[in-house]
Order: sequence, then structure tokens, then C-alpha cells
Amino acid sequence: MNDTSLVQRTLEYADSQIRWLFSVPAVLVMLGLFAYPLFKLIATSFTNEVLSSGGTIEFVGLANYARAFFEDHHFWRSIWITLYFAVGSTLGQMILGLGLALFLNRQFKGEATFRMFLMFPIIATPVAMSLVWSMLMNPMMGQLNYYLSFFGFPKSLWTADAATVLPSIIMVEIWHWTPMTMLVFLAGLKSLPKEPFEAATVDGASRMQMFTRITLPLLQPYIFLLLLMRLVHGLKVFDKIFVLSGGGPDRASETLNIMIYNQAFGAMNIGYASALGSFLMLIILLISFGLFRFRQRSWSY
Amino acid sequence: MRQYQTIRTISRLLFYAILLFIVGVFFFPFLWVIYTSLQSPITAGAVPPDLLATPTLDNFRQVFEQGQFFRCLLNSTVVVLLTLVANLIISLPAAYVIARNRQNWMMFLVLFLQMAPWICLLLPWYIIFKKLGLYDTYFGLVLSNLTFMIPFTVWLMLGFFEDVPVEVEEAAWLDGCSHMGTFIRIVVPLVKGGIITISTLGFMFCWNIFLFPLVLSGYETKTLPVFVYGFLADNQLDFGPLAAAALLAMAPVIVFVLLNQKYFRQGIAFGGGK
Repeated sequence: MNDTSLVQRTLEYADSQIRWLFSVPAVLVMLGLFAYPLFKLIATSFTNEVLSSGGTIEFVGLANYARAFFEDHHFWRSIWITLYFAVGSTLGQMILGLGLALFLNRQFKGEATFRMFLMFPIIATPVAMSLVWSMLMNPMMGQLNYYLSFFGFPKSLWTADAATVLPSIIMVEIWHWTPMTMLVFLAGLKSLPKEPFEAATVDGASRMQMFTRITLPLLQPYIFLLLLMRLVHGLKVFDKIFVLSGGGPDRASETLNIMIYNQAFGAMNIGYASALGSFLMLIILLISFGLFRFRQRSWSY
Repeated sequence: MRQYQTIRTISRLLFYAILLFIVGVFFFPFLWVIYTSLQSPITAGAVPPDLLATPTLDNFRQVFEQGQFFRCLLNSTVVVLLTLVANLIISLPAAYVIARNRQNWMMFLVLFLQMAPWICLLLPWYIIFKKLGLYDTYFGLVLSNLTFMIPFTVWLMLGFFEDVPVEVEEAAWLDGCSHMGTFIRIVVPLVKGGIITISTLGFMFCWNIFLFPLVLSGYETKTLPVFVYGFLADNQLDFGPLAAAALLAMAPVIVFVLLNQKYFRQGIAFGGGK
């Protein structure tokens, strides 16, 4: 009898509550994909679970963590490799990106075409480009050594040598992301107010002084945002290392990411891999938290 | 006066020379991959390169014939499109609510979610997806893509929604439009620019993603990046077919993004690396 009005009233009520109802799907999906899996990750890290049929899952307490901290010689090394990779590639992208942005911060003919070409590394599928770089860097048939010899560079074994594998992959990472940092810095430079520069010119400041005293401080929000994003991204890089070296040679490029993957899906030790994963999660949390604190303290513009 | 002009001409020439060098550094691998994909097995790995060699399309034929290229192309397309649609349905309302209620802690949460290392999520997902039967399904891959699409969309759309004046909505309510109707008919069309930006960047992210499908897709739903990786394992030193496979895998995303360049640049300038 009252069916239609009941439906209608429910709909009207829902409509009035839309402010929070609207966020329900997103919250549910995120809970399902983040909150529960993170709980599951930590729970698994206390067990000896393996990725194969049969075998019982037992609670082993902190054994996985003890194994990582005290027994597995590669663990501390992989943390060093991970940090080396993240910091090295971030610094490279930031410095090169800022330098290019300063150089290009003017109007010139062909600007649009130029920018279009620079966008290619960002857009192209990383796995495909890593494959291209691995062919270029191939010690026997690769042509990179040949082209670089024009500029006087000596021959390199690139990813085939434990001593050069990390710098080589960092180079590819810098090649991949410098256009992005450059575009962000360029947008930042274009948005800076003109007055401080005019005043400085009147006061006879040198170019270097203007850069360190005006440009850099004004760019601080951009620098901070990029630093945070690129650093966190650097800690997560997987595709390039996986395709270019697979962690070798001699595990010299096995970052924590690759180590976790190998432990979980190579050695099937998902319990141990989860312990490593929980630790990586903690590192990233601490770093981002630390950077936020740092920003709040030094934020003066 | 003439001397001054000469200096200007020289400095301009120098500027363009440096420009050309920069383009060369960043664009060189693309030229190389196009060149190599057209080479026969003998000339593909030649050092120095044989620039006069006759081009051949054999490598592309080999990619088409070997493995399941077209199947993977279809898989990639389906997963990307489904993700984009699902993402808009889920994220737009959420971003709208957060923008209207201005809750800072929610924004920090969104930012933090973007930072979680993927491999840490993959380990539990693998166990859970296998148990729920989501392993090697489109649905599972779409879900995995949503983990980075939702925080990113909410983060980017906040600004767009904040720019929509509340007065516009209030006027619609006064005219008897429901909240839902106002959102769909008034607010969403006003943030069209944001939606195109998100979809362009989302197309790129979802097309390029490798780690999730590497672990979560099997024979049925293998995507193109995983195909390319498998192709590498099968053709170690055969540069021609490898270059062709790499080129074919990235061509669609490059074409799509270049068609939407304006929106892509907007998103990137916003700080758009995941």
C-alpha cells in the first residue's frame, strides 16, 4: 500500500545524507585494498607461510625479523642499495630538472615542439623502455658505448658489472623522470612574482645572488613537493631494476623491493617476504613523516 | 651595432644547439627503437649501425605470430577502460565530499596512501586474491589499479571541486533539484577539465603498470607490459623483434597521451608522478 512512498522516502533520506554517503564506495574499496591487506601483511610476517600447496602455517613469532636483522647478510646491504638508488636518482632528477628549467625559462620559437619531445620518456611504458635501454647497454652488441665514444667516454659494461650496475640504472631513472621535474620547476618559475627580481636588479645583485637569495627560497614549495614525491617514488622503483638487471650481478642491484619479490615469488617464502615488506613500510612511513615535520618547521614563505 | 647583432645571432644559434642536444639525449632511445625494429637479424645488432640497410617488417610479423600479442593488447585495453570508468564512479563523489567538507586529515591520508610501496600490498593481495578467486581476472586487475587511481584522483580533483562555487549548487537546490541530481547535472559538467586530465594520466598509469599484472595475472588476463617482459625472456639477443615488441607495447599510450597533450601537461605540472 505504502510501498512507493516508502521507497521515495528512503531515496529522499539518502539524498539528504549524501555528504557522507558519497564517500562510502571509496572508503570501502580503500579499506579492502589497503587496511585489511596491511593487517594481513603484518600477520603473515609472524608466520612461516610458503606459497605452495601443502604444509601447515605456523606462528613463528619474531623469527622472520630475527632472520632479516641477524642472519641474512643481504638484508642490510639491500637497505643500503635501496637508499643509494633512491637518493642518487632523486638528486640527479632534481638538479638536472632545475638546471634545465632555469635554462629554458624564456620564450623561444618551437617551445611547444620541444616540450612535446621531452614528454616522451614520461609517457612511454617503463618496461618497454627498460628493454630498449637493456639492449643499448648490452656489453656485446649494445650501441650506447659506440655513441658515447664520440663524446670521449670510455667503454662501460653497464649493468653487466657489479660496480657499474647501480649508476647505470640510476642513469635510466634520471633519463625517465628529469623531464617531469623540469616541467614542474618550469611551471614554478613562471609563477614567481616579478617584483623581487626587479628590486634586486636595481640594487645591483649578481645573477648568482638572485638565484640563491630569491629564486631558490621562492621555489621552496616546489622543491619540497618534488623531493618528497621523487624520494618516495625512488624507494618503490621495481620495473627498471627487474628488467635491466633482475637484482644482479652478484645481487649488487637487489633493492629491498626486488629482494621482497624474489623471496615471495621466487623462493616462495612469503612469510619472510612479509617481514621485509613490513619493515619497508615502516621506513617509508618514517621518511614521509620526517619530511612533513621538517617542512612544518622550515616553512616561512 | 652590427657587432651586437652578430653576438645575438651567435648566442641564439648556441641556444638552439644546446636545445637540440637536450632533445637528442631524451629522444634518442625512441629513434633507436624505431630504427632497430626495422632491421634484419644481421644489421640489428651491428656496431657501428648500418644506416643504409634495407628496412624490413619481418620483426613485427614475428611479434604478431609469437605468443599472444593480440590477446594481451585486448586485455590491456579492457583493463584500462574498466579501471577508468570504475575510478570515476568511485572517486568523483568522494573527492566532492572531501572538497566540500575541507578535512585536512583526509588529505593527508590520501597522500599517505599514494606512498605505500606496491610490493608490500601485493604480498597479501596475492594470498587474498587466490582465496577469493580474483587471481587472473579482469576484476582483480581493475581492483589493483584502483589502489593508486583513487588516491590520485581524489587528490587532483579536490582543487577542481573547490573551484565550483557553492552558490551554483544552492541555486539548483532551490529549483527543486535533488543533491544527487545537482551533483550529476550541475557539478560534474563543471569539472570536465579535471575528468579529462585524470583519464589521460590514468590511461598512462594503467597502461604502463607492470608489477601488479606480473603477479596477479596469469594466462588469461596477461597485459602488454607482461607480454613484453616474457618476450624478452624468449628472445634474449634478437634485437629486431625485441625492439618491435617494445615499440608496439608503447605506441598506443604515446598516441593517446599526445592527443590529449594539454591535459597531460596540466596533470604533470600539478606534480603528477605517482
